[in-house]
Amino acid sequence: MAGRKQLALGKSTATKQPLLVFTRSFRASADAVRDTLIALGERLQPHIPTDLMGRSELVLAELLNNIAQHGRADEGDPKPFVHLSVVAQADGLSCSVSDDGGLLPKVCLESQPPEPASHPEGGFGWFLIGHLTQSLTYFRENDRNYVAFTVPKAAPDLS
Amino acid sequence: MDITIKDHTDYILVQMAERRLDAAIAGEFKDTVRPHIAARGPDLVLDLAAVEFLDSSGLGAVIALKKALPEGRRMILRGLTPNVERVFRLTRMDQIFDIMSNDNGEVA
Repeated sequence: MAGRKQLALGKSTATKQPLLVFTRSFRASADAVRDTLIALGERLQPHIPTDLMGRSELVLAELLNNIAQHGRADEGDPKPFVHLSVVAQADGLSCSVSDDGGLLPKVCLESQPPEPASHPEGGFGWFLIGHLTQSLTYFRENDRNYVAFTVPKAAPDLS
Repeated sequence: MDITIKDHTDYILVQMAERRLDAAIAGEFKDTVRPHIAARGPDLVLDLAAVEFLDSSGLGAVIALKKALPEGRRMILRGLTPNVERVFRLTRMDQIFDIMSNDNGEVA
């Protein structure tokens, strides 16, 4: 997605949109995640629907905070180093996140929502990510995790 | 953290004045509010009108506070902004709270 050319856009779209891209690299702490998401909002908010912005911010918060909280087995180790890239496309926001933390458990990618009656205090993150994204892909290469997805312009049902 | 906690006759009002209730602040939020509710009786009204962004860590903190309430006491949420309301709805946690609808008549 990063290499997608804009050449084809010329006459096919009525409203020309400048290419909107946001990239950041940082160590995944809760504070760094917050700062990054605030900067992302400042960059994109003027150009995309509020609803899309809200869904995207939530998905990225869940993903990045998971890396901050679970990316290292040993608390004393430096937090994983993250690269984030977000590109605004006609159909939504394309996001890619890579980090040098531990292997992402496969079970995360098929997460079901916790049962309300049990008053769960966690376990929502990957459910929200799965629910609010399309074309979610994950792979691991050279000791890095790569996650890519699109947050669609049109909200999925019940969101 | 910008938060006010007021004792009213029959309820405690907690007004979260921060714009974000997220992983960076969830623990502090929980630790700040919990001492005010665990020992005493009244219901808790949590006003989130200022909060524009809530993530699952913030949600977890709110649920933890509900569990810290004495038996039989209620936790009432009010002022949910669209981004905050979405998290409660998608996770179905709106089922376990009393949520006051906003002034504009829109049911949160």
